[in-house]
Amino acid sequence: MAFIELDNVSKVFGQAEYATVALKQVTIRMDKGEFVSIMGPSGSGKSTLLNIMGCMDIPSEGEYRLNGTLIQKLNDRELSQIRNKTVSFVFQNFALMHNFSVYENVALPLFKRKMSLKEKKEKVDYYLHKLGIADLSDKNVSKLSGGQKQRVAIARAMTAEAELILADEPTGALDQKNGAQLMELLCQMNEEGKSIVVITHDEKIAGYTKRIINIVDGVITEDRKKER
Amino acid sequence: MEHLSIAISSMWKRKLSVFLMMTQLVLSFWVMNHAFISMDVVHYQEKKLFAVMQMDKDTTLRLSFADVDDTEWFAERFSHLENFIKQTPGVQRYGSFDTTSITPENLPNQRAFLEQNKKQYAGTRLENAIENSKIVFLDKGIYSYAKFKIINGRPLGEADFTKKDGDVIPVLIGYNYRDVINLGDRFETIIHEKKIVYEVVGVLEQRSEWLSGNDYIADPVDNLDNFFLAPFFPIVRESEPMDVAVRMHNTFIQLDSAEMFNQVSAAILEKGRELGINPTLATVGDELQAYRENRKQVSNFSLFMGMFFLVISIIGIVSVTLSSIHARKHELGVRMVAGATKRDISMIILMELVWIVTVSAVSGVMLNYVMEAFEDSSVANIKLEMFAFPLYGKVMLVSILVILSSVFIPLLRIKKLQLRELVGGRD
Repeated sequence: MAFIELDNVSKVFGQAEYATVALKQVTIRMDKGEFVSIMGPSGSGKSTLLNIMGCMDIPSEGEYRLNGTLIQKLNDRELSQIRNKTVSFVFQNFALMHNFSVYENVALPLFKRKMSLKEKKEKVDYYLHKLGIADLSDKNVSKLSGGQKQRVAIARAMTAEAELILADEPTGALDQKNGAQLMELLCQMNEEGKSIVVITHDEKIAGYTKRIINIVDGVITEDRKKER
Repeated sequence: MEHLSIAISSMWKRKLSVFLMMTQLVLSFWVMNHAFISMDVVHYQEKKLFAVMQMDKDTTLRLSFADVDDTEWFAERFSHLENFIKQTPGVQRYGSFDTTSITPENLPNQRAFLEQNKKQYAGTRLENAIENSKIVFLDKGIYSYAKFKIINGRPLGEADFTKKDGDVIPVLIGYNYRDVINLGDRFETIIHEKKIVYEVVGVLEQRSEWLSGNDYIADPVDNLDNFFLAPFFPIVRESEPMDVAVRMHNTFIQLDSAEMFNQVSAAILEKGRELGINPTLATVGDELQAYRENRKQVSNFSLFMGMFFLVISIIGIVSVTLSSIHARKHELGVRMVAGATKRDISMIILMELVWIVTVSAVSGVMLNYVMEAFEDSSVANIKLEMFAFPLYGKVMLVSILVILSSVFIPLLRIKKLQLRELVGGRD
C-alpha cells in the first residue's frame, strides 16, 4: 500500500458553463520517504493537486487515500486531524499569522495536542534552535525578512512532526541563497524520513528532489524518478 | 481554555475596535440595568412597607391636603377635623407621626453619646451635627403599626400617650445607643423654649424600622438604629401651626373594614369642605398603585432605551465581528491549515464575544452601582439594595441573548469559509 494514492482524481470548480476543470483523472502513487517535485506552468493544476494531497480540498471525482485512509469519507474534524498530525505545509507566501510572534506561529500545530505548556515550549524551543531562529522567538513575524519568515514556516512544519511535508513554491519569495538553504533543509528533513512534495516551476529546485512529476492543464504528462 | 487564551490574545491585537465595541455595550448595559432597577424598586418598596409595618392595602388610609397652610387658621380647623375623624363610625384608629431632630442634653454619659454620633455620622451630611439625634414622635393610633421588638426595657404603653407638657416623656432608644444610654437615664431638650425631660424606657432591637419622614411610598422606611422614638405630647404636636403642618403628610386612618371606605371617606371630605380645608383620602393600596403607574412610565422608557441601545450594540458587534473575520481570513486559514476545525474557529469567535459581552455587562453593572452610590435621592439606598442575585440573573439573561444574537451571523460566515481560498489559492 502506497503512502499517497490518487486514483483518477479530477477537480472541477464552478458549475455548468462556468465550470473550470483543474485536474483530469490524475493518478499518482507515492511511498513513504519520497521527495517529489511537481512541476508545471501557472494554471496547470499543481496547487489544486497539493490542496487535495493536504486535505485542504476534496476531489470532485476519483479517490484519494492517504496512508490507507479514504479522504472523501472524512468529516471536517477528521480532515483537520490529518492536517494537524500527518501533513504540514510550507507556502510561497509563508502562511504565517501576521501580528503574532514567531513563537505563537511555530506553536500553532500544538494547539490541539494533549501536552502541558512546558512540553509545548520545550518542543517549540527545540525547533527554533535547530533552525537558528531562537533569538527571534518573541519577535512579530511581520518584522522578519523573507528568509527568516520561511525558516519560521519550516520550524512550524517541523514542530507538527508530520510525516508528509507539502511545499507550494517554497522558494518563490526568497533570494537564491535563502532558497538554496531552504532546499537543503528540506533535503535534511527527507533524509530524516519525511515524505516531501514540492511544487515548483524552477528546474533548479526540482533538481533537489528524487522524482519529478510534470503536469499540464490538469493532466500528468511526465513522472520520472532520478538520483540527485 | 485554549480557545479563550487565543481569543484574548487576538482581541488584544485589535484593542481599539474591541474597546469601542465594549464602550457601546457598557453604556447599553448601564441603561438596561437602570431600567431593571427602576422596575424592581417599586416592588421592593411595596414589599418593604408591608414587611415593616402592620398596615393594610385596603383598610389603611392616608389623609393629606392639596394646599397645606402653616397658619393658626388652618391648624385650628385641622384640629376640628381630627376630632371629627376620631369619632367617625368605621374609624378604628387615627394618628400621625413626625420625624425630626432633637439635641439631647445632660445625659449621664453625654460624652459617650457624642462619640457614638460622631462614629455613626462620619462621612454623612450629619457629621457636623453630632449633638443632634433623629427622633420619631407618634400617636398611639399608629404606634401599633410597628412590628419592631423591644430587646431591653418595655414598649410604649397606653399611659405614655397621655403625657402633658411638663411630664417626663418616656422614650425608646435605637440599638446603636444601647451601650451609651441606659434604661432609666434621663436627658433634656429645649422645644419652643421649654425644657422637656425624657426618660429612657426601652431599647429597640437592631434594624428596627419605621415609616420614612420623607415619603413613605418612595422611601418607605427609616432605620431606627440611631433614632429615638417617643409619644407625641401637646407641645410638639400642636403648639405651633408648623407642628400641625408637618403632620399633614404623615397622618393615617385605620378603618374597621374595607367596606367602610366610601362611608368614612364621604363623611371626612364633607366635614373638610365644611371647615374650608380640602382633605384627600386614599388607601395605601391606591397610593402604591398611583406610584407604580408613575414609575412605570420612567422604567418603561429606560427599558426601551436600554433595548434600543442593545440592538444597536448587537448590530455593531455583528458588523465588527464580520469585518474582523474578513480581515482575519488569512489568520483563520493558517489556523485551519495547522489543524483547527471550523468548530475551533467558531469557538474562538464565540469566546471573544463571550468575553466582550461579559466584561461589558459587569462593567455596566459596576458603573450603575457607582452612579447610584453617588446619587443623592431618597431612593438611592433602596436602589443599592437592588444589586443582588435577581438583578444579576436578569443581566446574565440579557448577556446570553446578546451573545446568541451577535454570534449567529458570524458563525454562518465561518461555516462558509473555504480553506483553499484562505491560504493556498487555486491555480
